Amino acid sequence: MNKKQLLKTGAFLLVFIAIFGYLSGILRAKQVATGGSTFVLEEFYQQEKDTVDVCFMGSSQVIWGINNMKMYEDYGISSISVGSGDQPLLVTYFLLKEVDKRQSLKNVVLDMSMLYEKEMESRYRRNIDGMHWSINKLQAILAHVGSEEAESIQSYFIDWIKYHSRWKELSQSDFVYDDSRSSMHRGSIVSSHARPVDIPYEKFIIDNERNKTVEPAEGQVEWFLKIIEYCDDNDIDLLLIKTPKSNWSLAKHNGVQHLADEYGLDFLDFNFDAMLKEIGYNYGQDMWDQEHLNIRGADKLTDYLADYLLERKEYLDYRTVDGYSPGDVERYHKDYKDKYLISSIDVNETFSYLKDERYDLVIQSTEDISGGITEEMKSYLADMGVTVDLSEAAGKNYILAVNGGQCVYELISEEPLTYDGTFSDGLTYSAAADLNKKANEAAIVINEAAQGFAAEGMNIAVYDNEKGEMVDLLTIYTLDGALHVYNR
Amino acid sequence: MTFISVEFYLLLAIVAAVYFIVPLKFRWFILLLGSLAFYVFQGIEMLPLMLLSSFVGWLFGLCMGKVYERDPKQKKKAKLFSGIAIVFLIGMLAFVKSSRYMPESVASKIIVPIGISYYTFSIVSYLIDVYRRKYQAEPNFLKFTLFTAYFPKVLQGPIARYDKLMPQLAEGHKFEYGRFCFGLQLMLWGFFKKLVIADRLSIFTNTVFLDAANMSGSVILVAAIFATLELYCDFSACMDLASGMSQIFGIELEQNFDHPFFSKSAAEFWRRWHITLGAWFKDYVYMPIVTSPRMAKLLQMVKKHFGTRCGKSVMAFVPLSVVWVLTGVWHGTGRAYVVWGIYWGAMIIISQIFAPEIKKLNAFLHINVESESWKIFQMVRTFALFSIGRMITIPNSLSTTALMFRKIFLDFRPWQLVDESLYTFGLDRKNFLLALFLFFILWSVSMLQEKGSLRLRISEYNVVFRWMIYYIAIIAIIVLGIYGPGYDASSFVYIGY
Amino acid sequence: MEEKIYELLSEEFPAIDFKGSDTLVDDGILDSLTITGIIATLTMEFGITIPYEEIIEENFNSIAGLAKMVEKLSNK
Repeated sequence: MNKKQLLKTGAFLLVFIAIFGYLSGILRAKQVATGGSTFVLEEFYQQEKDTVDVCFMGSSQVIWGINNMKMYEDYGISSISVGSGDQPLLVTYFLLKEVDKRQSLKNVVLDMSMLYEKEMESRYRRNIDGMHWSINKLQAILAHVGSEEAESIQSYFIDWIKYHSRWKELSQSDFVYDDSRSSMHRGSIVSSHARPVDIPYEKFIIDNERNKTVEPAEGQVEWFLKIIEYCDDNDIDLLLIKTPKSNWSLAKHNGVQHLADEYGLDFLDFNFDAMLKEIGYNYGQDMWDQEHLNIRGADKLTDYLADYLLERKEYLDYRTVDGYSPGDVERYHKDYKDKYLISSIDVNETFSYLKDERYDLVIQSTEDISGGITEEMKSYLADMGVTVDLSEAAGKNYILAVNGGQCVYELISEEPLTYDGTFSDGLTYSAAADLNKKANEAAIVINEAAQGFAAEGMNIAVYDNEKGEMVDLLTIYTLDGALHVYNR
Repeated sequence: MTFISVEFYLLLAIVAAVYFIVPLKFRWFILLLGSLAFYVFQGIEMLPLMLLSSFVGWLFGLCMGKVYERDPKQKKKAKLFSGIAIVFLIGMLAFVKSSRYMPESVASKIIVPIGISYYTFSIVSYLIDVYRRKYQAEPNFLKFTLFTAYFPKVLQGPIARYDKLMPQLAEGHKFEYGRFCFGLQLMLWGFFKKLVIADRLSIFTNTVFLDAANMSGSVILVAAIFATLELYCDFSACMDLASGMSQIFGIELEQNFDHPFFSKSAAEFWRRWHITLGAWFKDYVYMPIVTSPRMAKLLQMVKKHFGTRCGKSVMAFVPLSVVWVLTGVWHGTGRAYVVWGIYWGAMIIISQIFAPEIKKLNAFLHINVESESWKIFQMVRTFALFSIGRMITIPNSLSTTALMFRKIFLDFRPWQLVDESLYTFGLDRKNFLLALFLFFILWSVSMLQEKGSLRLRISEYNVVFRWMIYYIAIIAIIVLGIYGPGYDASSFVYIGY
Repeated sequence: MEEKIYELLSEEFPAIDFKGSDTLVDDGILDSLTITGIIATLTMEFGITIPYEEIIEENFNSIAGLAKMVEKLSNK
């Protein structure tokens, strides 16, 4: 081959590698569902160097269970969560190295549920694939591919071997990284999944045999020990926690405690009654499923941990640092409010949130609750310019429309009512109110999609006119003589 | 290590690199080393058997050479030598292939050297050619083994002829950039046909045929059509890869496929599909029968009692029957393959014997045999006939084949063609539609290739357009290919031979 | 002899123009099945045996070649 031919061949290959490098980034599966590891990892990569002092790591419980923005706003501590669904401890170890490399951490707070879970290949995949190329990623791949269930080493290094078949599933999120709807703030998920489930205290620790111990899952302990060693070598305080999680057990607790004692670590297990009470856990309101705290629970846990950390160490108060921005504060407050609204189980609290420039409301009745309407509810409604007195509306139908905190329509009548309205951003909807028409009829239809109210009571649709999305659909109903809130 | 494995191409790259560094006269030896290495990777236990065949072929060929040297008229002695060798080689082949009929304890110990059907036929053709004094015997055992084991062709053919291949193997070739690029491009097309088309279709066909008893006739029909295209893409892809990589070394392998589905008759089809196999049977079975004195005597006898037309029919019948039964058996063991051979044989024989009647029928029906529409009909007919044949061999069980035909005629359920159930047999909607689009691509490229070398044509376009075509092809293979976690690997169909 | 062969073959294979070319085999006008038919016809007509070695282009490319071959074999 002469020089010219060699150059031609070389050019051909280089152009190809460039094109294909780009394409392979598109083909790679991105975890961009809520709480998806792509978002978590990108959040971390976006933090400025040396601006994070505390890192919460472990499974998804640390992204739902800690409110890092609150840590900053109320305590000045700069913390992030780098956790993801069922994160295997091997991954935690290498992510820890990755985080510490850029951030010089003071503390690592590790949630211990993963000690007992044997993990699936997909969990390794999604986390390792999401890491930016670095020594740590290389080491993570090499450490992992030995195990049986791991996919081939070639498919880790050249990940289009695995992902090329996604050509038919490509969507916008593969081409454009858009985290504006990730509802993630410093690794904490503030938005989404807030509606509480009722988990009473007894459900957390399910057995009482004080002397039983569960063996950790295969492959997890060695990485846990490596994490301990790394923290030790790098002067990082390691704190072990277990967020409230139903079906945790005493035996598992003992297992962790045993390791903690052996290595001189503190272990805070929030599953015990005493701890739950101490953080002010409200069992009807603070979790959104069997394993995850919602925003209210997260706030409480965050308060406790902030105090705990501050008692033991000095931290730079980032609120006093010139020019430091913790993230999209404005969006955080909006998300935060949305979630408090959604997780509210008290009617007065609910109504206190409703007046907001950002919210458009449609309120109608399919059941008479006039007897239970509180003074507070009335005064909040009046604030929004509603003139009718709903406590006098016994046996009557009514429809109210409130755009941006101002009432734009109200009608009360004994006849069945219908109304065609428009939200502040122009989206149309129609509402119907009829005390005689009960279940299975859509009472509010927004943009042709039935918002399917089949509940009896006062139905409120809350629409975010900035985002152009529904925030909440709630129903206020009577039970045992008092009003209750049900969020869909 | 098949044609679709990273290790194979690593080996190829190493062999190529060394080949072009070493002085010209040693280059054949590098090919031999590479071929042996490749064969060892297939399974080291197979190597001695392949070497044995090669040794027998070489030795007896040399014996014949010595006999002729002393006295060119000593045909009887030469015949003896070639006879012994051929019986041995074919015997070995038959033994290895009939493991199906042996008890488990014996069958499990039988080693089937890869490519035995192909290289055995190559060696037999060499022996017969030497016997016929077509060329001199090869004195060098190593070179002869290279002829036997040359790695691009040992897996699935083409069945090489000594006088066409050996000179090219022995001569050291200089590197030629244009030829190198053409070779790579041909390999690109091969990869495309195999990884994107054939392997995709196999998902569908495997799903359907594994459970044929529960499938509707319409789905089986679609699967039969897919299976035909799958076989073509799979096998011709392998040929393209073999030819393409040989081209890099400056070696032209014989063509094995010539767009067979553009054929207008069964006879023409077998001159375009697996060309080297048909050619082998023609030169070493068919023609010898046709020109044997016994045949001549038979003809005279038949003419005497039944007339010349009958004589002609006998001449059409006898050699073709032998060839087609053997062709069937070569393709596989089992009654189904014999039936398959008879199926094709019968079609060709009947169209030969009744040629005048067929012509009269066409005239009677006012069919204009020169018209485009008739030609298109013939091509579709050829495809259909091949698909029917495919249905005989796929399950390798006549009862299953009969079941499938019954389903097509008695349990068609045409609605399954349009009610989206076709998307439920392993290929979802997008993949299925992609497969249909790929047929169009296949047809277009084949049409263009019929008109002349496509690679040549592309090379005449400007560099941007050219590179775009190559990049699109490569990216299509990488993105749309069936490989990696999430797909099962599927191996080449003709490899078991 | 040539004429005889020409008439014989034209009758058996009316679709082929035997006089149209001197390279019937090379041009692809005669394929192996047709050649078989020609062998059968000549064998039966002239009582000869056409051995494998005679199946060469030289003999089959033209009527002249065929005639020469038949004569040679008839005299054996």
